[in-house]
Amino acid sequence: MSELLPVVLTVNGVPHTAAVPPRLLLADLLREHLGLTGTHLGCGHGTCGSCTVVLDGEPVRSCLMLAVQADGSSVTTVEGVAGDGPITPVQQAINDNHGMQCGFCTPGVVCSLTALLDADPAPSDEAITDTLDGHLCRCTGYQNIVKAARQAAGRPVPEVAP
Amino acid sequence: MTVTPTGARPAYVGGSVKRREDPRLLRGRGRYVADIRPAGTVHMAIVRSPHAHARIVGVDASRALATPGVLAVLTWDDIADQAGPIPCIDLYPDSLPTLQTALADGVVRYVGQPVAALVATDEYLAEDALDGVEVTYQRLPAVVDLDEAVAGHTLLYPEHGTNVVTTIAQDVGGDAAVDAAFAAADHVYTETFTVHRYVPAPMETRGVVAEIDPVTERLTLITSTQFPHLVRGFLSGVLGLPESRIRVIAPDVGGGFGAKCEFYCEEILAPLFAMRLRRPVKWIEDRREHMVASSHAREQKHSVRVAVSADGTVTAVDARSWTSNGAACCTLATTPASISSAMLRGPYRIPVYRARAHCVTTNKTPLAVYRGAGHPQAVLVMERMMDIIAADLGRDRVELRLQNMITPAELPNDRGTAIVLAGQVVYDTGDYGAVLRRAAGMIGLTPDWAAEQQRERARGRYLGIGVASLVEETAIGPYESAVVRVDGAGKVTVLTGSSPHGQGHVTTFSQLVADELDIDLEDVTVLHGDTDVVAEGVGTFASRSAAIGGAAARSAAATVKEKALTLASHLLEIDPADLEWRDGAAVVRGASRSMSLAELAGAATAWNAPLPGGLDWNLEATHRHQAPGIAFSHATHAAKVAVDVTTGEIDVLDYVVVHDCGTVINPSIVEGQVHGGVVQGLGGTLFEEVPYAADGTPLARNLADYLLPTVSDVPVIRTDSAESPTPLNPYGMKGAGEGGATGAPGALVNALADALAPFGVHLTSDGPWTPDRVLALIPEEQA
Amino acid sequence: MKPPHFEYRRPSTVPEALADLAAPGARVLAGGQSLLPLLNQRLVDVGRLVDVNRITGLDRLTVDDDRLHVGATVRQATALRSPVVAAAAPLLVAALARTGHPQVRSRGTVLGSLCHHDPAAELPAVALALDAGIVVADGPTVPAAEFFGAAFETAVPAGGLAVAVTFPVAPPGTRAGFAEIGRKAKDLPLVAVGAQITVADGRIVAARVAATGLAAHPQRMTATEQALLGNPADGPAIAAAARAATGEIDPDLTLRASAGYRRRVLPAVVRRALDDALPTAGAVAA
Repeated sequence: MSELLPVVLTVNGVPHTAAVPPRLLLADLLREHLGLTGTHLGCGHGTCGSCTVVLDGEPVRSCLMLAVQADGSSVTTVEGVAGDGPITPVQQAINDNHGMQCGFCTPGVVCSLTALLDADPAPSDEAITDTLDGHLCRCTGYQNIVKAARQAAGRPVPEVAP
Repeated sequence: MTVTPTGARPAYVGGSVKRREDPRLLRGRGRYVADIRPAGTVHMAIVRSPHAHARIVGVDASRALATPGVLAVLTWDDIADQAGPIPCIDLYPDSLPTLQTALADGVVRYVGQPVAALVATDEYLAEDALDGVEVTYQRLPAVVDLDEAVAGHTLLYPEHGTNVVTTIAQDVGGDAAVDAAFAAADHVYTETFTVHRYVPAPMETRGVVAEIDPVTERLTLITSTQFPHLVRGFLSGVLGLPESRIRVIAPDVGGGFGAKCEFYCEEILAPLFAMRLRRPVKWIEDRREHMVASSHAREQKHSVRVAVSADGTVTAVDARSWTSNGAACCTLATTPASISSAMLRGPYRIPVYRARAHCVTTNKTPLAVYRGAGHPQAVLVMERMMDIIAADLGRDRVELRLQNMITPAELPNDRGTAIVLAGQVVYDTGDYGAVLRRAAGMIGLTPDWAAEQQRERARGRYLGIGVASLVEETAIGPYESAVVRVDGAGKVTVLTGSSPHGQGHVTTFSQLVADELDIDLEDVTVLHGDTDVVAEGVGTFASRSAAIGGAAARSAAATVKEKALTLASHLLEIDPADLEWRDGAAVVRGASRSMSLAELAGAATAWNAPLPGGLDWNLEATHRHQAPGIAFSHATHAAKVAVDVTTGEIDVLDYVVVHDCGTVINPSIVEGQVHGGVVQGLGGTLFEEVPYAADGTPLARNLADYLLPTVSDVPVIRTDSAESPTPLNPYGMKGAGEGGATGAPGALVNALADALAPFGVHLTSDGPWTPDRVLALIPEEQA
Repeated sequence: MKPPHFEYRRPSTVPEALADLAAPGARVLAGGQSLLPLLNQRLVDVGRLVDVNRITGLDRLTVDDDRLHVGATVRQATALRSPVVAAAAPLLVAALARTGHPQVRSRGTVLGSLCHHDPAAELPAVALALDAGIVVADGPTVPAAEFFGAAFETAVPAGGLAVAVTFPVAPPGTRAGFAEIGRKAKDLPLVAVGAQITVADGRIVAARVAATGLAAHPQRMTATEQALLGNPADGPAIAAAARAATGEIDPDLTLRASAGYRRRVLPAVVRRALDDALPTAGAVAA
C-alpha cells in the first residue's frame, strides 16, 4: 500500500539497513525489526518515557520518532548500554539502591541517565530531577531511583534517617 | 544480616539482599508479553463501544474484511455458543448476576466495552481495519451518578428491577445496640464522603498471546496477569475446555496493582481467534484502551453517623456506602465494598457498628480491586471523622485516637465483621498506639505544633499536618503452593504458585529457602508464572505472597531438610538425634563426618537403588500453606503540607510512614512497597481522576489527561517500622504491598484540612485536590 | 496506538518543501513532539508529512544585525544550552528550561512549538513578549503579535512553511524570569508568565511581559510592563506590577481549569516570574 523507505542507522554499534513504511515508529523498528525488545512502549504518546533511547547522544522518545527519521543516526538502546560487558555504574546503582521493581520503565530510565552522565559526569540535583521527571514509574515512588541517580552521578546518597 | 540461627552463616531473612531479578532487567533482557512473538503471529484489535449505554442494532464487518491484511472478524453472534460469561468470584448468595460477556451481547453498558474483534497480519493494519466494522447503535440514557443509579429511573439490567446488585451487611451488636448507643451519645456526627474514580495504570498495559499447538491441540495463553492459575481455571470454564488442555504463562509482568487481578474479554477472544486461524494471536492493549478497558477503582460514597460520649469515646458507627461498580460484576466486584464496610473502624474499638454497603451498577468501566481495594476509602472516612470529632471536642488529635485504639492487651480481637472470600476479621498482633505515637513524633505533631502553625500563618504560610492510622487485611488465603526440589548437584529449585509482577519474589523466596537449608542464595532458583511448570497456585494480590507463598516455600524447604537428615542418618548409620543441619549439610555432632545437600540429593535420585528405611526417592517436598485466618498489618501515615493560598498549590513537605508487617524478609523490598504505595495514594489525592461527562463519556483518555506523579511531585518518604509477627504462619510474615496506598489519602486530606482550618474548610472527599479545587475552598478576599 | 498511513517526503531545499506542501493535507514534520502524539492516537488526519529536518540551513542559530536567528530545525535542547541564546534572549532560555522534558526537548524545535500554538504552551508567550518575527518562506516576516490566531492556528498559510524565528538581541543588563502553575509540577501550565527585564543604573529601562494559558492565544501584558518601567528594580515595583496584572486581562480559557481560577492566580504567577527575573528585588519584597 505504501512505499518502503530505506533506513541506514547504527544501533548499539552495529550498522543496520532496513526498508520501512513511512509510518513505522522508531520504537517498532527497534523492537519488531531488530528484536531489541528492551525498549518498552508504555503509553505510545510520549508521556511515560519507557521507550527512551539515546540518539546521537541525546535521550529521545522512540515512540515520537518515525523510523525513517533515524536514518543516518546512531542509536543506543538499553541492550547497548553495557553491551556484553559488566553492567554500568548507572545500572549498578539501580541494583544497589533497589531502584526498580517491575522493571518496565527501567530501560528508559537507564538510557536517560546514561545520556545525562555521558554529557555531564557531575550533573546538578536539578539536572537529575529534570531528567527523571521525563519518566513515569508506578512502582518505586521514585525514592530509590533518585538515590540511584545520585550514586551514579557521584553525589552523596541521602540515608533517610527516621 | 545480623541474626545467625545456625552456624556461622548470616541469615538472609531480615537483610536487604540486592534483588536477583535486576541484572537481567537492567540489560533490557526482560520478557514481557509484548516482547513475545511466535512465528506467524497475527494481531488482534478490538472494536469498542463509543457509547455508555446503547442497544446494538447491527454489526457490519464487510468493509473490515475487505481491508488489506485482515484475516477474521468476530462478533457476538459468532461466539455466543462458545464463550460463557466472565465469572465473578466474589458474589454474595443474593447478588444479582450482572456478568459481562467477551463481546457485548446486544447491549453496551460502558464506553470501551468490546463489541467486535478482528485480526490482521500486523498491529498497524489491525488498527487501520477498526473503522471498517460498522456498528449501528440505538442510544439509551446513561447512568453516571451514584445517587441517580440508586434511584433507579434508568436501569442497566431492567430484568432485575434495580441497579443495586448487592447489599453487604455488617452488624456488630445489632440494631437495638445501635439505637441505644445513639440515644445515649453526648455527640452525634453525621457526614457524607465521596471518593473518586481511579485507574491503577501499571506502566505495562495488559496484553495476550494465544497459540494452539498443532500437534497436541493444547492452548497456550501468555498473558500479563497476577494470577495465571486462576486464569487457566476461568478460561476452562468459559470455553468449556479441560484445564489439562490449557497452559497459561505470566511472563515478566510490568506492574499490576489489581488491574491484572481480573479475567478479561481479550483473554477469551485471542484464544477463540487462535483456534479458528491456527495461528498465534497477539493483542497488546494500548494506553487509550487501558483507560477504559482495564478495571477502574475506588469510586464510593459513604454516609456515616458516629456516636461519641462526652469524654471522646466513640461508642458506635452507623454507616452506609455505595460503590459505583460500573457496568458489570467483574472478577472481583464486591471486594472493595466488602473491605470498606468490614474495615471502616480501623484500629478503633467502637463496640457497636452497623454497615450496609451497596454495590451499584453504573454506565462506567467495571470497577475492581486496586492496591488497598476498599481500605483507602475506609481510612479516609474514619480518619477524617477522628479529626472532625477532635476539632469539635477541642481534643488533641493523637490523644483522641489513642483513647479509642485497641491496645496490645486487647489482641487478638474479633471485630465481628467479615470480608468476602477472606473470612472473619480478627485482628492478630500489633501495637497500634506505639506506631501512631512514633509517626506523630517524626512528623512533628507535638504539643508545640499549634504554636508553630500559628507563627507560620502569621507570615502567610499555611502549613498542615495530617495523620491516618490504619489496620489492613493482608495475607489472605485460600492457600499458596510451593515445591522445593534439590537436584543431584545439590542445586535447589523452588516452584511457587504466587506469580509476581515486580515484588521481587525471586529474591525473597530465595532468602527464605536459602536460610532454611543454610545454603547460598545463588544455589536457589525460583520458578513461577507457568501453569505447566508450577502445577497449581493462586497468585499475587491482597498483600499475600510473602506471607502465604513465602511460608509455603519455607515449609517445603523445611520438609526437604528433615528428609535429608533422615536419609543421612541411614547412610551414615547414625542416630538422627546425633545429627544437626549446618552449612547446607547433615553434620554429625561433635565429629567431622557430614553429608552435604548435594551428596544427599545425589543419593536420593531415581538412579539409585531403593533408599534405606523405605524413604521415597528424591529430595523434594510439596507444601501448601493454607491460611487459617487473615493477618492484619498496621501503620500510621503522617503528612506535612504547605498550601499556597494565592494559587491553591499543595507542597508536600514531609511524609512519614511507620508500619508493621510482621517479620520482614527484605527491608529494602518492604520499604519499596511502602514508597510506591504512598505515591499512588498521593497521585490519587492530588491529580489522578477519571471524570465522566453526563452522557457517560470518560474524560481521561491517556496519560496526558490522567496525571501520574513524577519525581518532582513527591516528597522524600521517611519510614520506620515495628515487627509484630503473626501467629498465622510459622515465620511471622504479614503483607506489605498495599499499606502505602491505603494510608496516603487520609493523611494528605487531613493535612490539607489542617492547613486550611482558618478558612473553615470542611473536607469530605479525596479530591483530587488540584490547585483550582483547593483555591475554590479559600474565599478570595481572605487569601 | 499506531499512526495511520501517510505519504512521507524529505525535501532538501525550501522550494522543494513548498512544492511538497502544496498537496492537500500536507503537514510539516520538524521535531514531531507535538505531532507524533496526535498521529499515534489518530487524532489528526495527515495526507502527507513533509520532513524538513534535512533542509540545509534550517538549523542556523546565529546573531545577525541585532537579531537572534533560530532556524526551523533548531532543537529546544540546543537553544537551551546555547550561550548565544542565553545572551541574546534570556527569556527564551528561562522558558525552555520549563518546556517539556529533556527527552522531548532533544527533538522538539523552538519554531515548531510556535507553529503548533497550543494555548497552554510556554514558547508562544516568549515570542510575543520579545517581539519575535516569524520568517515565512516566500512571504513576509510576521510579527509575533500578528502570528497567533485561534488555538492551534497561526498566520502560516496552508501549504506554507515557517523557516525561522528571530528575536531582538537583548541589551546588556537584561534578565529573565519565567513562572508557571500547572495541575502538577511538570505538566503543561494552566498559567505561565515570562518576563524579560533590562535594568540600568538600578532602574527598569525595558520590560517585556507576556502570559500564556489565559486565552486562545498568548497575551502581552502592557499594563504590567508600564508598571515596571522607570521604577527601581525592587519589591514595590514587583508588587505594583502584579497588581497591574489583575486588571489587565480577563482570562476566558477553560482548558483543564476554570477561567476564574486563571484570573485569581495570574498576579501570583506574575510576581513569581518577576521574582525569578529580579531575585534580589524579590528578596526585598519578602
